[in-house]
Amino acid sequence: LSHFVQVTPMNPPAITRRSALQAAACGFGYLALAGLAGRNAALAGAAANPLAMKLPHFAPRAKRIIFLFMQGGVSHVDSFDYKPELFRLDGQSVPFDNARKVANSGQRGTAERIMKPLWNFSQHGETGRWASTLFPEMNKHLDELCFIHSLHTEGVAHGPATLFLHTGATQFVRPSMGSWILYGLGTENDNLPGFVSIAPSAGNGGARNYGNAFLPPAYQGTAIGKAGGPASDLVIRNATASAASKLATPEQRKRFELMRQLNAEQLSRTPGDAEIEAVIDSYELAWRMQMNAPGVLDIDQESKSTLDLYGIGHEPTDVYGRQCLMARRLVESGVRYVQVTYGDNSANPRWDQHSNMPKHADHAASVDKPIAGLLTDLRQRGLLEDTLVWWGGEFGRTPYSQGGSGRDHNPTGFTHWLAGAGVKPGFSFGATDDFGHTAVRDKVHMHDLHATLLHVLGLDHERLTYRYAGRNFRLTDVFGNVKREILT
Amino acid sequence: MLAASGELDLTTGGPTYKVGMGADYNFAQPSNRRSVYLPVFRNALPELFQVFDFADPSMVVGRRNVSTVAPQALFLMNHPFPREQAEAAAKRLLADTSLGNDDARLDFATRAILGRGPTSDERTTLTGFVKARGDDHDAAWADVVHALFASTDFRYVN
Repeated sequence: LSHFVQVTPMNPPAITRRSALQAAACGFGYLALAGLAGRNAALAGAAANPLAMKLPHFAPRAKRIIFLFMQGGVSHVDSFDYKPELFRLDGQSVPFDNARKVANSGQRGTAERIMKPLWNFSQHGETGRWASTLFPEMNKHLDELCFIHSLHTEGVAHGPATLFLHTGATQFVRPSMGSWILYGLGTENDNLPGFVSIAPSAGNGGARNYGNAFLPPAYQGTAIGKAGGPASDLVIRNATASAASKLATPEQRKRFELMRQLNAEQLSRTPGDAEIEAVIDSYELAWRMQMNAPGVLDIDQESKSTLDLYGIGHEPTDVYGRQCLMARRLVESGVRYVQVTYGDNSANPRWDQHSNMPKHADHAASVDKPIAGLLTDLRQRGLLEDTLVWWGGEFGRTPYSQGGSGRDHNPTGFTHWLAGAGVKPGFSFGATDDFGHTAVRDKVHMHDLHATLLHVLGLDHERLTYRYAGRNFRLTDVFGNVKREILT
Repeated sequence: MLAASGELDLTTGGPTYKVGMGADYNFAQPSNRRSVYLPVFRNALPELFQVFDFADPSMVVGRRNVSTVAPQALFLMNHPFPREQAEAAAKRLLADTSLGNDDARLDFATRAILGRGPTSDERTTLTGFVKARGDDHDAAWADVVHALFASTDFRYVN
């Protein structure tokens, strides 16, 4: 094989990737070597790989992000935003600017009935943070978490708010945050996708929430499984043929080898065609993903104590536990951006308790231990030093009741937390009013959060632009301020 | 692929989807009709479309994206659709008594799939593959058709 990998400045590549592949008579198993030859060819001036690692704008605080998306809108007033007034005024009518009514009719100051939190609050950890009993396992990590209590966003309904959270736009089709990050930083691992969305929802924007929009398609997120799906579904789409056996069967190898050979023969008749060369690249990467991804996603390799940490093998934590453990394995392998969605494909996604707030307890029971386990595991492995974990929903919920037993969407003030690289542990930033309804102090708009998260990764949100339809675009449009107060 | 496999449903007229459908979430393409009868729903774009740069139905698209990425290769290698069509095409080739030998089958398959006969290299490779697979003609021909579907000459109009 050595005769075609010797590419030096004095010896420009006389052999194309295609002929290299033809020469690779040992077959598909040697494509990784052919890939190395291609990398040398790229250094010699061939087309650049869009996923090659790029330098950030400045020194990053974190290398990668795990986003734990609580789809439907988890209640901040029942979990981490403690408001004693809600207990005192339970059942009383108070005028609010109800975001739904404002959006529908412009009517402000409507009388709404306060509903006290369904879970009692107490103080935790050395920081003495107030938190409810809704997430008892997460509460053990409060001293590590950096809370933003003053988040506010665009969109009153799930569709626009979910798109805004993921893409910074409620209605226009824009690249998702993971795609921007991959575009800005490239990938650390050639054998895996750089941006993975685990169990994404098909609804409320669906694939747009991990889509590349106008960015080159190489930056789109790779979906693993789908929201609400079983654990067996957690595979890279169409890399499933090898998932069961974890290795390609001899029949598959023969089939792929035939495909490779036929392509090589067809390509030899149009030498030097970059587009056709890209096909060879795509098959190489597909093969490497096929061979590598199942191993990375194979959590059976983990010890029993690790599986227990995430609640794997027990209900109701098994599925989200597996997904969180996969997220750890993926970031450990160099994936830049991993999202783990706790959601479903319905019009009222999981946390969307319009009429039955006690249902929040079921969802909390499913995610609490897996998330706490993820934090513990990341810390034990030293991964929290360069990984940022981000938790939250597309909006929060109202402090007043809807229909007596539920809470409506609340985009005007809600809580997210961050943990790990780049952010202050045991810290709280911003505040909502006395009812937990509207962000009033040190407000953080979703654009600000996006700008801050990019900053943590070493990217200037104003310089991370892409030219499309005659002008430059960015994740934060013309908005966004980095909230340096929360950074280390 | 449907044309090559003989599975294409050429029925004309009639609705493209069931009347009274409440939502497009999880809509599954129910038939093998021509693509003009394939409804385009924002929330249920067929996977084939998603993978191969179909214009985003939520977006004004002045120029279609042309990408060549690994998920396309994975789709062609592993998605059930190309495999099922390849298997159907193989059955059809083997059942056709007018195609007396592997050379005749390959001529037919490449004309149906690539719009041309095989080159001598392709003939050597593909008929050689069938011979090497021995008695399992169905699987061998399914692999040949599958490889033709995954080939650049099938994906690109020269």
